Amino acid sequence: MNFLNDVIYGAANGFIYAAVALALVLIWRSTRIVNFAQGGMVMVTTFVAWDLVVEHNQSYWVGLVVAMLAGLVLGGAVERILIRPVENGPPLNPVIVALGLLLVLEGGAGMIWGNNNNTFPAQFSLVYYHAGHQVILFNSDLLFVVISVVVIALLLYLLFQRTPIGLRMRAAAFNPEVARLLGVPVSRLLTLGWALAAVVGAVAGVLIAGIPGNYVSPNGFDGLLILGFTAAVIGGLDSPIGAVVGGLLLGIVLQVLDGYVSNDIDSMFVLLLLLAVLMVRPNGLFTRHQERRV
Amino acid sequence: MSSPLTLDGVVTAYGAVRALDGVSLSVPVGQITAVLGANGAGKTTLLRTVNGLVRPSAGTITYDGHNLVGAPVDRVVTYGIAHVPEGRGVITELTVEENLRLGGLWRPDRRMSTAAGLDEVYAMFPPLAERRGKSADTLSGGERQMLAIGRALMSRPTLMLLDEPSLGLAPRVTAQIMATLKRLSQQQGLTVVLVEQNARSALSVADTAVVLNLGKVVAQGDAGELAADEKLRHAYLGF
Repeated sequence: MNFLNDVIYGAANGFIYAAVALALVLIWRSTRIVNFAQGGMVMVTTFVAWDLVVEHNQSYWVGLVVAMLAGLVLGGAVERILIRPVENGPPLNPVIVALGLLLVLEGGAGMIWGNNNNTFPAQFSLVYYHAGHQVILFNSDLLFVVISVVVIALLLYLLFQRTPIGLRMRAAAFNPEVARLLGVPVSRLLTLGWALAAVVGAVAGVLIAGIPGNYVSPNGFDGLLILGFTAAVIGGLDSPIGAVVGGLLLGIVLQVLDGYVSNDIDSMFVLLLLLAVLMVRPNGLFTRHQERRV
Repeated sequence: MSSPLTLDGVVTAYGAVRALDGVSLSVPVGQITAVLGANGAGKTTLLRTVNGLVRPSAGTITYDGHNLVGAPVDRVVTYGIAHVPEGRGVITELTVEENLRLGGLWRPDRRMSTAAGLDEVYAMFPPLAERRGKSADTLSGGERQMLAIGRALMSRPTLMLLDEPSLGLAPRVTAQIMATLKRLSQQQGLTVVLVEQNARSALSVADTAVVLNLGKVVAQGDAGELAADEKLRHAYLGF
């Protein structure tokens, strides 16, 4: 592996971490809850896609779209049924509920689909480019990953910054009481926020499953949550752009470490990085520190 | 013309404490009504009960044919009631213009009304026009109050509820705000309920006034007469 390939692979992985981070940021922004069940939700929607594509010979695209729809329903239902009752309690309650949900989802997936490591077919094939004497391995899947996540980030940005519903969602997140006084149906928007997050997560799951070396299994997405969470924290947890940049940084650094040191130190490095960011810049690299006047 | 805001026997309790203890009053249409009283008299609770943020345990509240008791908070604005919350209630993370847009967002005709509304508000409050793209946390206290009032106007309300608009503002800025309210009520027939601790400045613009004490209405009538009643002033209004 040469450095350029590492960077390309790392960036593609990074874009997937970014997608997971975006899902976390979406929920954090709207409800101030870190959704620790995100990994489990991603796993379930990816299994839905896998079930369709591998078990029922549907096309990759059918799998992707159905997974996104499943995410929409799952995210909305989780907020309505599980999170809503504990939302106004102590902040620890939603965390416990989310962790419980994670266990239920992983157990349930194991019962339905079994505890095997399943491969997910890649949608595209490898392409080689020659740059002088260098051979650059280029996988169209990676390009697809990059384009998908960039499009998602762009769509989310446009949704939040340019549309009335986005303005309502931001108002609902920043100041729910004032938003309600201005006629914003805050509770419906919170449900929408969770649903959207799960859709983004669903895309991330299908993308990562298609990269060779990754498997679909009930516990297969635990690591992805940690990576996505680290990416989101690097970006400040509040900033969609920060999430994307955080994901990219993380993806590239990990891939380069893999190539030059060893891939055994990945998990340790991620946790060390998380610790370092929380200690040195707890607000992340991209959050402008804002004091709220009371 | 819309029918007046009417409260009848409204009781609102926080646990065992009755913040409103059988309040009955009627707010005349097209006029400014000041709601006065000391800290803890129930002024803010009165507004929060009207707009649905707290639910009364007894009594009825009606406005323009709508029953307000139990109405969802986010519906109340669609009845023509705009609320300017205490402490400005400006969403500081949004820009000035986003705050204003938000005010008119519920309107079905917002495509038409938003642009016109923005022009009107910017004409009324030139400092807001200068900072339209800036985040609202860069505004001064007086500018935030202008923004909160402008945002309420974006919904084209028939009734505006203001909670302590003079709080923390310089007297000159307070006077400006009061003059703006007076103009809105006289020129556009806007009904205003002005909750104020600063009784003197509120009475200077109000047509009628209600004095609350410990959750009960102790005086109600023409603002000028109440201001002239020395005993009442000393007992409840502190001037």
